[in-house]
Amino acid sequence: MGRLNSTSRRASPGLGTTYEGGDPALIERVLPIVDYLEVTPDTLVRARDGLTFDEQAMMELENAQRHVPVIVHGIGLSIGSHDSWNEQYLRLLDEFLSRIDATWHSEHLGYTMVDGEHMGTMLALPKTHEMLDVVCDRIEKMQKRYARPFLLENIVHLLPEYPGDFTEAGFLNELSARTGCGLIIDAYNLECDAQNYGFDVGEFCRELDWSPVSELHLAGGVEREGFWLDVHSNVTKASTLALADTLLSHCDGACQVVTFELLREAVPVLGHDAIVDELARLKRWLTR
Amino acid sequence: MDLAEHQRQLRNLIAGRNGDQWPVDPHIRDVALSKGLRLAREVIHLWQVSRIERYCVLTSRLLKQRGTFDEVVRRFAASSAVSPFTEILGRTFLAQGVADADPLVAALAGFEAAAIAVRQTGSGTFVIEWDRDPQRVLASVIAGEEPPLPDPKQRYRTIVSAGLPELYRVECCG
Repeated sequence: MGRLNSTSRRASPGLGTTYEGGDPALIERVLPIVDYLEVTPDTLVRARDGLTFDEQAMMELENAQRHVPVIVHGIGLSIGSHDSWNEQYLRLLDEFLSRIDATWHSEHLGYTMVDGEHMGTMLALPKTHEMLDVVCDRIEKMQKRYARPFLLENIVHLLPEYPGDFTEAGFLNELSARTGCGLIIDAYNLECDAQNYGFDVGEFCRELDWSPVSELHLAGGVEREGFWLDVHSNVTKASTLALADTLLSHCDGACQVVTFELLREAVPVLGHDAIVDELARLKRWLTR
Repeated sequence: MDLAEHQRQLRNLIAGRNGDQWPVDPHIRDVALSKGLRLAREVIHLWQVSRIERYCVLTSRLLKQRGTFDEVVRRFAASSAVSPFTEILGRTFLAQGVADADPLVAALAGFEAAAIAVRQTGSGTFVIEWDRDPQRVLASVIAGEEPPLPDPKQRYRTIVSAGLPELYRVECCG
């Protein structure tokens, strides 16, 4: 299974946001505003006798999914590692999806591990034929393993891009055409790439086949030495929202959810009031 | 360059394992010279700091008071396989702290690891030896004050156990 059922599409996308568990006061204020809750299973993991999920967080999610659909957005799969993806993540996802009925699940189009070693960051894939074959094979395995749509997201380029065989949009087009997988386009990642490496967002928008794009991501980060870092630590900038407007116009109704992503570490820094205000602002923006 | 070689070379650059060898491949050379690589390393370090601070609250505070936290985290990251899971990362950091040459850091890391284990599992008993009064150490770390000096006349031990009302007790042991 890949793309979402077109009959379930809505005219105006819903609003989603990240929740990493353990903050009942926040979730109580967020649930009335959002239409989807995005969960990254990796962040709920506790190490007891092996890896398992934080029971309190899982109970919160089981309760939350009675109010809004849950969508899964993993970070641990490492779908682009040359040697193997992360089997440990798959076992966690098995357990997670046996308890939470996620509408769809997604991952980042990148890799965090090389030869089994975690790098501490996620790198973008080289856009080569060899890489395309590896990722398509793994997408098909994911689609067979989990009977629900699987989406992949464009990630930020921390390092200069490898001169591959495809453009960013061309690579995404090939992936979705060959496997039927859905796509998530992250507006802030595109903006970072434009700022840091002169990425041509306009050309990307013209080249991309937008029909598989079911979700957009919004986030805010920080700037260091003129370099924009995608750290999900801030509210959405006006320029990111303007870009998201452009992206939505390309989606032509296919996009079902726009998700504002925020890391757990940023919650105490921003505060609940600012997060709730941001979600209310984004909701108004989506329904204007 | 094939995919495996490309990814290995980038990993080595990020981990700073290329030593004095200058990359031959022009793309890898571009990466080696890039601001992105330098900032990627810094972001990785900041993530590790943030996760260790969250899990190892007491030991992190003591190391910061001593002005060695940043350096200890960098040494830890260079010497261990860094887990993406905070609890595993934190446990490994504390396990390495137990072997620290500084007896105060070693005792506090051992105490913190034991307290976390007992709180999480509700079982187990751990004994940690101290060369100074652990109550005064804990109070000073929490208050952000200078910890007491070693006590030449007295050794101490903490017993950490789920069966104790405060999860631990202090004993003097000659």
